[in-house]
Amino acid sequence: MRPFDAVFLALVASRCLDRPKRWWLVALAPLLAYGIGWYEPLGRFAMPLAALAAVALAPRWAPVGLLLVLPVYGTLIHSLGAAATWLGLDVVFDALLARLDESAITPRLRGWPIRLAIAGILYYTLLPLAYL
Amino acid sequence: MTTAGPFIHSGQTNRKIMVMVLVSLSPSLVAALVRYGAGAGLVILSALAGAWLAELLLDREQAFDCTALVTGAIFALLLPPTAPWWLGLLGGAVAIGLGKHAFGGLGRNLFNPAALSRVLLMGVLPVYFFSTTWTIGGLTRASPLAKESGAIGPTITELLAGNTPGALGQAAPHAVLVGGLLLVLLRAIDWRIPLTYLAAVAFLALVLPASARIEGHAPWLLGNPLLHLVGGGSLVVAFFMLTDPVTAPFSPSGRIVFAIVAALYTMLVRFYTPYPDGAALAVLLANATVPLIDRATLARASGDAPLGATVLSTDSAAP
Repeated sequence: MRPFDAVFLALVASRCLDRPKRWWLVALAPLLAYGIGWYEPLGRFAMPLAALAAVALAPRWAPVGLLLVLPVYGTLIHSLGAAATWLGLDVVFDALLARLDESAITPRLRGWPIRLAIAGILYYTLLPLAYL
Repeated sequence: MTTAGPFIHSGQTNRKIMVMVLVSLSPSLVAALVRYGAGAGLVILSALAGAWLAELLLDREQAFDCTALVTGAIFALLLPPTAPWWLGLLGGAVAIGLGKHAFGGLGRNLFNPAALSRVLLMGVLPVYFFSTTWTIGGLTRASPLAKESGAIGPTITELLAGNTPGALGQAAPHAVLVGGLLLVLLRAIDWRIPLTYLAAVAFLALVLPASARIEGHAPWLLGNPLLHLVGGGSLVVAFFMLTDPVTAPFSPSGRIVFAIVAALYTMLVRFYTPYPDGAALAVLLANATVPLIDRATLARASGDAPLGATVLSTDSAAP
């Protein structure tokens, strides 16, 4: 899985769960994954350790953290980019939902369908960043 | 509202503004028709029909205020001349159905419908949009923004005459410019948005460092503001898409920030990704930032404290 895809899956997953008080700590998950993976002596223990660390960051958002440690981050810049994209997207997505006039939306699309549509639009809009 | 009342009606109606926009789009549509012939005419007509029929189906009353026709015309300008007619029909319908009515209809859409349709169809049917070479009238040439090895840079004369392969809206840059300036003169759009966007695109074309994708493959993309202004979708985006009042910020300062965001993403895509052009994508990204821009700039206009500012009490502010 590309870091870019993981960020969007994490964005959708985060909307299924209550937001923890220190939700922003989850943004450290890609950096942890890169740091732990980079330390060679850990070998095959690197992945489970990164997963444990991601869960410890925000237990209530464990699935979100786990999704963010799944991809292989090739460089520190890639992990920083994923963290920044995740943080930025979270803020933008919330602001868009706040502007949405749900009462005007047809009942069939209200709620999850329109939220998923917005996530999909943002995915295709930012897709070029996956090639940076 | 960005200022306090009282307010007076400007006399403008939605229909009147839409007719103005359609008139200003007509030079570009006619230029595309003249340049690419009947094929382009079919694409334009199908995009207009797709948008209008979707509007008729979803909101019969609005079908006659011309908003759907404007969306269809703008979407047509984003299509390549080699696009099949059904792509125009589908795109026009997606723009109105998904871009406008899925969000609650006129005035409630978060994204520019034409840009949304273009980007979604580009994701689902990339074969019609990602061609970096175009065969028109038996001649095969590369898009002026193509970064592939073997592409040839266009000359200034070719650029200004629109004699480069690209979307229908690139057939005649001067026609887009005439239409856009007409809208500015009629005060149908805020001049700050196109001016800031185009100035930022030109500035970034001069200062952005080269990437491995450009160096050695397409050096003409570097330090060439004219190419970036007329070679891609910049002009159509600047005058007809970013200026959509529903999806642009309310305040003048917000609109400047909005245009800079769009220019930054346009140039980021052109310089550092394999995509030939990022203008339509930039419209959507800028649209997505509008609630944040409004929150930061409207607070100032309405007298509230802007984001992150320290609120002074009346006592401490008194001399």
